[in-house]
Amino acid sequence: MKRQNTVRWVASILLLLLMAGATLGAEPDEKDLRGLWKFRIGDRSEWALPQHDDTDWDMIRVPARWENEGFRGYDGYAWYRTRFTLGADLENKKLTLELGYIDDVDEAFINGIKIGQTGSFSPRYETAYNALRKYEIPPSLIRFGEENVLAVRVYDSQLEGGIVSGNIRIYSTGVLPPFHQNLTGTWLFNKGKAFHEQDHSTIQVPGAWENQGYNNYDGYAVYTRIIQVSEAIASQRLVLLAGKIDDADRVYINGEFIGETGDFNRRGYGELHREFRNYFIPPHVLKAGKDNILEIRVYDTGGFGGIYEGPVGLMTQDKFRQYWKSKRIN
Amino acid sequence: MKVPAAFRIDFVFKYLVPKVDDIMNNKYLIVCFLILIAFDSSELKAADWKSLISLNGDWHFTVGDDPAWANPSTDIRDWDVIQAPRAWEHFYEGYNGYAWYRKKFSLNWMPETGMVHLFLGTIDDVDEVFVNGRKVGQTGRFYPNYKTAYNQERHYLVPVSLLNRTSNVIAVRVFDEGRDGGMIRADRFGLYYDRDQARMAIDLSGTWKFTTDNFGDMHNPQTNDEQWDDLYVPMKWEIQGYPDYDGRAWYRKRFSLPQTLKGEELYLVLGKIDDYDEVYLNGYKIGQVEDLDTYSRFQRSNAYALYRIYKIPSNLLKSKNLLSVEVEDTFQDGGIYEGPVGIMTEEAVSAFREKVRWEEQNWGWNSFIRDLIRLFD
Repeated sequence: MKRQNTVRWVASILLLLLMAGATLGAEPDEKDLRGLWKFRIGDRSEWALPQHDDTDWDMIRVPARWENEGFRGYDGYAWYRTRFTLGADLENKKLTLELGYIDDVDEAFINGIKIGQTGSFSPRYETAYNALRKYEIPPSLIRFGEENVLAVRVYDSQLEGGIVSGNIRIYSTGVLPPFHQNLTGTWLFNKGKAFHEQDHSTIQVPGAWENQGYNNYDGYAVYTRIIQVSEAIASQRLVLLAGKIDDADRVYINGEFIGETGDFNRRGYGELHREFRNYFIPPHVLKAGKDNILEIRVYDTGGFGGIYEGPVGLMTQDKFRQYWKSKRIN
Repeated sequence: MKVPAAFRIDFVFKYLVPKVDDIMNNKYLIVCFLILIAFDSSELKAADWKSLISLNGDWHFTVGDDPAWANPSTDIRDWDVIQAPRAWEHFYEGYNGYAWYRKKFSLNWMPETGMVHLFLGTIDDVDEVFVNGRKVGQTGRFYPNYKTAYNQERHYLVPVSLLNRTSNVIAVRVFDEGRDGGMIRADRFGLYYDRDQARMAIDLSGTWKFTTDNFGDMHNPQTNDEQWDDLYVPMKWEIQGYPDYDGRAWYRKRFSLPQTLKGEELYLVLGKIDDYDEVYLNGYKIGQVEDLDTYSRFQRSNAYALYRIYKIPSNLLKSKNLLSVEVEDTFQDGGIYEGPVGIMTEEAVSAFREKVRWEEQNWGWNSFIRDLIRLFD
């Protein structure tokens, strides 16, 4: 009886060790950002800039509701800032910033460039207090081995406010696809079936438009990005990776049809919003040394809409083929 | 025009489902068994296939798209190797878009003339096939007018003149919009020869002239056909560049008569035609589907299932001949879609008729009903 107990003990300890090892091993490369950040109530656009002097700002614990950190009863705008350094181990990786849950609306900047937004500020205020914040970071924004500045603009309409809970970190989700141009980041955006040159706003890609001021919008909308390429690139076969799009989309370059996925014209066939988009661009469709208008026209039948997941970017077909070959399973 | 599948389901519901109550009844089980034998291999029975080469197994593979990859001399050393038939997701998880397959093969035996059949099973969604650099067919449509064909079995004709014994390259360009992609599954996956084609004194399968435009006086040998399209026969026109065409079309084939066949009683065999046909030789009408013994005007819509065998009046044949066939398709698949196609001697034609008769009596509907009657008698 005693002997059996010992065996059980040893076995369970071994199992625990094994599990611990497995979790440690599976831990993705990440930078924990929890801790004391700079904090200031109010709202000034230059607070996004990395060179702004925040030495006289208050300190605040992140994550926590600001009501518990000495700002009892405060509703309105406030800014958070923190500095971080990423090692070379995260270079050439796909990076995501996770900010947990923010009450009510936020906008995040890295080194002064906007990388994401959830909810909508006034005048068309919409809360997103129960949405998990995850923003893909355009890799060109990060200075590896040096100090980077993350600034988060928060608006709280009532009750508790701030970066209130959840995991606060930058983590890697695998190797960065070998893009020639990573197109994660700010795109032009308008409702309707084609690009309105006079009347558009901006939006972050990837990210559902419901979290970016277009709550409950279903129907047609257009994402537009102006891109320039060299002759060496324009003369090659290229592939546009357009991530996952809810629900259907058509891609145009300078007004020329490139390809489509799903039921853009509502003919009533299958759902493809979980499928990755790869659009093949023949040589010389993109004009070297000129502004090329890349449009992704989207039709959303209901629920979340838009380019909601990456990777989004442009790469040469040669790199694309190597990339997929290196990802082969079985 | 292919309705038997629907018939089958109708039949099962009308006559068999009520019998589920007495499932213990042996007769019910026997009926099920009869259905299985009668219809299971109906496709295989339609022609007498001899396998020339199986294409199962390793294929060179790459994602992406480049017309140069159809060329057998293109360097593909940096391509991957995957197994087909199988969805490419098994190797390239989540991949959608263009990809190419390539495989080398040699042949132990091939016929001297005519066509061989290439079966590639189900391809998701659209494909285009090249043999030794020449396009042999396409199913579905690529951008800009994309149309999936994910549920169609791929069946192409390859001219024997395109093949050699020692070294051939087949290249398959595939586009997949989403979910499973590639050459995903197949019963038959390779090159086959229709043994019935060997019964021909003159093999007429191959490239024919074809048009859907009526220029007038279409059966007159003087009417110019240089501008007409080239089409493979026997193969429905839908997968040869006429994807949604229903209506009238004209086929033409030139052939010469060997000395040895002069004075023989000869028969023209045109396989099966969807739906109706009129046949002219050197400008004179020699037959139409309505003339066949098997034709019934009460079952006019079954004309697509009948073998076309027309006696050739001996005085019409010259050393150089022009055969012209007018086809009318009312619905879906159209054209001279199934072989054998050629000219048979009287001896060969009676053997072929005997074989067809035997098959009609021993598989499918007829055998099923006959056995059913016997069972419940």
